[in-house]
Amino acid sequence: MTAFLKMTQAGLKSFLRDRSGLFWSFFFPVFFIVIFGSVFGRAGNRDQSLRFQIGLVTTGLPIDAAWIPDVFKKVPVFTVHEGALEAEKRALIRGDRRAVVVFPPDLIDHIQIGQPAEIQVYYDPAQEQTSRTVVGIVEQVLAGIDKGLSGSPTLLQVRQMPVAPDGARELNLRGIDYLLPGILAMTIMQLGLFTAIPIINMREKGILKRLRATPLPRSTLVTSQIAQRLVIGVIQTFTIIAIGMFLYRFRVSGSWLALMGVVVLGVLTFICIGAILASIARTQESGVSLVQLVNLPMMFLSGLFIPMEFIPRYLLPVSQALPATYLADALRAIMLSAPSAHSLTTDLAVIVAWLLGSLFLAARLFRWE
Amino acid sequence: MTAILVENLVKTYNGVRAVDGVSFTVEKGEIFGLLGPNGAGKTTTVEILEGLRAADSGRAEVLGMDMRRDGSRIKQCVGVTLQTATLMPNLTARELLDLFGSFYPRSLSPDDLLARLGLEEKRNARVQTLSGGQQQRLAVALALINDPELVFLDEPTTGLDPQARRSLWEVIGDMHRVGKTVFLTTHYMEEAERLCDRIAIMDHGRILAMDTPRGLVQAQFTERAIQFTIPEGVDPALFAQVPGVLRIVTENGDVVLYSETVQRTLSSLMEWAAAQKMELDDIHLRRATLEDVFIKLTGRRIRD
Repeated sequence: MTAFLKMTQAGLKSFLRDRSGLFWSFFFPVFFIVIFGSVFGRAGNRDQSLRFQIGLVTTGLPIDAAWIPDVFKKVPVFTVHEGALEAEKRALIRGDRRAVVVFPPDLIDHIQIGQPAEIQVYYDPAQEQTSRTVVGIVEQVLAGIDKGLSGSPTLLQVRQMPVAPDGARELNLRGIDYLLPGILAMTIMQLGLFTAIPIINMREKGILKRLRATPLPRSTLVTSQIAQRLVIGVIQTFTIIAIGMFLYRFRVSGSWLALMGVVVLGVLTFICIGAILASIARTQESGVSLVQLVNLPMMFLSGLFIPMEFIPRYLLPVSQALPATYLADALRAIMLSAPSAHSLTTDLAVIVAWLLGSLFLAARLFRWE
Repeated sequence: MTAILVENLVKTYNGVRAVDGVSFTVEKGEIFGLLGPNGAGKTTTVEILEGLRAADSGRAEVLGMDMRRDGSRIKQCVGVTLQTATLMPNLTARELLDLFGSFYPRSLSPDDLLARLGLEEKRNARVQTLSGGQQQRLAVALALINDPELVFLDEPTTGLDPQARRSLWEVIGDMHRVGKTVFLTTHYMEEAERLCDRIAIMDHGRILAMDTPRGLVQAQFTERAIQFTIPEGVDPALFAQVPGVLRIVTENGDVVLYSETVQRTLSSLMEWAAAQKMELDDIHLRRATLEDVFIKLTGRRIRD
């Protein structure tokens, strides 16, 4: 136990004394938040916030039912366009709409006789992630209307439609809200991937070999390395969230415990991927290139700070295979309590699959010299 | 008492026998040197004994324990320096000793060790700021942190300046005085000759000879060398006429005559040179050295 604590402590000391490591681990993500935050908009500035284009088809809908589509206009993340079905569907295919909601003309009749009315929501299945998010929000809105109709039908209740399960706040996705979990995911990813560099360093310098000549158990060596990274990861998480709270009034609306759980899972997964890279690279220089080769595509294709809807279609299958996509999605789901592209279960399942796969490979490929 | 027992040790890398049937024993309290050029198989041999590599075949026992079965127990009782001396550059000397101490059930005080190795002033200096000699002494301090019975030192003075080398020799001498067993690999003749109780000469994965330094020289050379410089333009082959000369070697402009009857040969040489009216300068006698033994056994110099 002392050996484990001393090894962990020694690793953290080394980390703190290495200025460039500190820069990449702390100042870089903070820098990102400040830069992107000022581009995407500051707290409460809704005009610059991320918005989804929604088409509404209300052809033939009587005037007394017009309040229903109007609810959509009050959802802050939606910019609503009204038009004919064919025109809106073309816009969807062009990519100018994220979803098209079609209300049947006999909507009110159905409601009056207490029969369910069918509301069609068109979306682009190729834009899977965005579509799921948008359709998710549309469904929440409709569910809210439905609840309003069957319960006490006051318009006001409908307008304040809470999407958070605990009803803590109304859905108000600003750019920074989308961005901050992404930056956190990026930081965790890089923390793990760049574990490759100290591993290569310890191998190249013969430190691993020297440690192997002592009775220090391998398990202690490995667990202490992981513990160091987890400590750094937790500090990074709090730093990033604190910066978000301080500069942009960011709030974590979900469970902190779940958030920490996902952070730990993410760190573990990316450490294993980093360890694989460390075994493939021969020298520290080639290690840095190799890590960047993995890091850069993941940064830009995993929806960390570039929303999925900007990613070209042909790259979407790549995006949907990357673990960072699911880490960012899970962090968003928890931190914002917002409907995410995938269900949290899917996110966790994919991350765990990556963890187990890369753990297996990392153990197989590990080299002491 | 035997500290190390090795029998028919074999280790093959990519079809090359790096260690090719090596056998030897090291007694407790002895400084044993494995001498040989780079690539002779010294490091492979010592790394098998340190538990860093598995032998293909043969027997290796350290402190009465079998390497294959009791590897981790052996690691508790031995100390090790590796050829690569770099150690966690961002930690201080004291922190590093403290860290390594935590790996063993029992460890010495880091401060005492630093004082013993003349590093007390550097206790709070980061490893990366230490000189090569200081890092090497720190590596030795780390090898001693668990107060081991047996210490493996792999090329401990390679790359050090003469002063740093001498100070490390003193440290090794101190270990010897307190009864520790030291297993040393080196390619420095002088180091082996000066420190070791016994030496094994290794080349191409095999042990060519093993004895005390004096015993090695005596077993290989019954002759003595007469060495001197000659005026320019004189053919060294002329000295074959001097009675008692067995071989003639030229070394950096010096002539070296080998003889088994050195006194008679020397007086004959003087008479012959006087008769030739030849001025010989810087005449001296010397015994054969380990270097000579090495050249004779391997057919090459150790640094070639």
